[in-house]
Amino acid sequence: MLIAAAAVCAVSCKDPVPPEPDLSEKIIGEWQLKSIATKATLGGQTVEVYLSFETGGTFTLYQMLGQGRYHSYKGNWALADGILTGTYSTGKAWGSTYTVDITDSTLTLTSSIGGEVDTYAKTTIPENIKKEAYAK
Amino acid sequence: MKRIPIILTVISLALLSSCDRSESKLAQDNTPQSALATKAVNTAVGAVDGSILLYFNAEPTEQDLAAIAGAKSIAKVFPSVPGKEEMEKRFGLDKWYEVFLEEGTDITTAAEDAALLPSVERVEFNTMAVRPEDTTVEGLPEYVAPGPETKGVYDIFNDPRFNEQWGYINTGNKSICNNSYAGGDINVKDVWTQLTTGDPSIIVAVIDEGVKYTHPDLVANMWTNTKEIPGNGIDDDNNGYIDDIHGYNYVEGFDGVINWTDSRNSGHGTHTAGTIAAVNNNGIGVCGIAGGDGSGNGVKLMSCQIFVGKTGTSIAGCGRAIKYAADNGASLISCSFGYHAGSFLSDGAYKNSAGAEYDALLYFEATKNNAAVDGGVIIFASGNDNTDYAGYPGALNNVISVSSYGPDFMPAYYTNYGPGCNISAPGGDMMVVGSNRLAAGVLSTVISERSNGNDYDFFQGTSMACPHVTGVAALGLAYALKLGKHFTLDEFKTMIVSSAKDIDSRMNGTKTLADGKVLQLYNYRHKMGSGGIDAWELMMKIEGIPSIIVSTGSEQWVDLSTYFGTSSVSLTYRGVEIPDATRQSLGLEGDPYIQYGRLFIHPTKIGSGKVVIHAVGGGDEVGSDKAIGGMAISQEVSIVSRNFKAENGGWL
Repeated sequence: MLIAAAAVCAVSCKDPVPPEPDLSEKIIGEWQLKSIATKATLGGQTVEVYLSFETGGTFTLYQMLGQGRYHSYKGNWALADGILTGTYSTGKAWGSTYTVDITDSTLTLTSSIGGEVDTYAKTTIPENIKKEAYAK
Repeated sequence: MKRIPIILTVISLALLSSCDRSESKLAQDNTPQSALATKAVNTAVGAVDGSILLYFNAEPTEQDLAAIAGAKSIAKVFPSVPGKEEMEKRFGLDKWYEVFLEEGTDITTAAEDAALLPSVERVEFNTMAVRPEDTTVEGLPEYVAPGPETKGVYDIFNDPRFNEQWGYINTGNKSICNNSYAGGDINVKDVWTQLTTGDPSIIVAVIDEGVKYTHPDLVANMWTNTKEIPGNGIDDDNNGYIDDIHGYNYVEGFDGVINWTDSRNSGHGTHTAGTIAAVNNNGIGVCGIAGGDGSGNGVKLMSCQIFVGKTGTSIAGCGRAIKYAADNGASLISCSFGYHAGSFLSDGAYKNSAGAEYDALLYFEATKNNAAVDGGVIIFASGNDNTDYAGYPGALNNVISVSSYGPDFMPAYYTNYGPGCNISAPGGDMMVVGSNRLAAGVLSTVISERSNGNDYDFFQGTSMACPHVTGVAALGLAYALKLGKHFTLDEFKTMIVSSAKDIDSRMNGTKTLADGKVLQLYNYRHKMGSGGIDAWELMMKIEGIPSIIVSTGSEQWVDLSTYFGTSSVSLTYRGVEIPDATRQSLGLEGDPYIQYGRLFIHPTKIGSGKVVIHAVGGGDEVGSDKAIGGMAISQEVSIVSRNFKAENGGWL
């Protein structure tokens, strides 16, 4: 009797398929800028950007433009209806809002201003960058 | 120790006495007076008796010497060093000679005779060097060590008197003065904890009183000439000096031996040396800016003695001291001496008066003694005359001249300011209002033999401000070496002068002194050089300066503090250089220009490019042969144009 019950259960009690995480969950993690697609090239300047979207709606941005060390910026983000918005810890808004697309380990942010498309890859931000970045 | 004289010839008195000035065959059409007027570069005022300096355009002969009244011998001003001959020639050091005169010879008469010689191009009276006026304050209240500070602030090093050195970390401690200003310091703490504390391959020459090289807080950071065997009476390294182990003493009557025990000494050179590189983390005394972390990695101090107290050496001696520093490895010279403000009012006037010294300065600048910068950096005190321009040589447009502020981050009551002053640093101000005014001076190493047995004491003056900038510059060299960076001399000087924090925001209202006198601070606005030296900012510039993001398609004003320090709005700008490639890449609408310290730019295309901004490091005009002024500084600015930008420069 017990065995029969178990057999029935094995075929009928199938685990429910977990729902596809929404963008707000998928964006959590650390990302590295891999490409900048704009209407024109940004030229020969070094542009190194890492993003960390954290649970609780906070983020940390590490960037090195041109020369020098990484600078870090903190603040808050929100994602609703596929639109990513944010403010820096100074209270100032980001320079743009973005539409978000996430496939596998690629994050694509498309600016609402001018259509700049920045593509990020899932990564682990090196500890030395986190440690040595100059907080802005 | 003796400097090796390079005597070309010695003419007997008999020969000299037989020489009739009126019989000169060399310039019969000239009167001695008119010839001197043409060739003399300075006056006899303040000159030493017993010698004059001559710049020959040909090898001097016995006949030349015989034509000069009272001349007994002639020697090259600058000892020639094997391997340096080409450099010596390039700067004309091989052409400077010192003619020694019989006692009682009138130096003007001798100079007039020399001026008649066709082979003599310039005649220079051998003026004495001057140390900035002492700024002693009498009747100070009894000193009380500042109270305990915030835990952690001074945990970096274990030197017990570190917390009295407000110039390094100023917490705004009111026990130092009523108006102490937190952050009124050189901002070095994070440099020490994160980046560098020094590098023993960097040698800093202290051109001053002798440095007490046995001082317990200096001895480990003293430069030692390892090629010289002490006390053997031989110039082992063939550098022109015998037994020069830690440097050389150029003051007459001391045979080259560095001296600090003579009763005239004040400890001035030992004090400035301590600010640059007293040994850190050794459990005693004080800290030095580039003094290492206790593991033997501080920069090295070379003593080039040109003073015993207020008794100085001549232009010739100063020139030799500067050349010695160059020839023996120094990358920086810290010079807390000079002429009183007003003695010269243009670079040209100084050069004409102290040609031998100036040529030696150029020689030092051209000498590369480390892998980070291809030349020597010269730093002077601006002077203590409380005058609105700097004293020379510091006022020269190619050297860095330092003004002084107190713990209130306001101008010290004695400091020179205005044209010729390039940057400011802590120099102390014992006339601030407070119950513990000695503490408002600068604490550093002194000579116990001359200071009632004390190894440490407070001094004040631009003499104390100068080594703060030297120390920061030394840290900069150390950090550049660590990163494997290389700069031209002009690039490095620009980085120093533009690594400044805003001091003009303190120039409002008045500063009341302990004696009731009042400084009107608007008199100092835009005149303390580019601002207060900031060690962290210098290190960031050495790492590399990030690009500025601008918005495509809009006119905008760009803040330049990243490039020129937080005093950027106060600087005078001389123009913007825009390469064609940048103009095209950014689609620039009109020419960028600078107003109120900000860059106006209108890019129409997404892209990137570089412009070069030219500014004046201290003052409204660059100094020239005709006028005193600041240093020409230039910064390359990288610009990235995007469709949007965040106000804080963040990428998102």
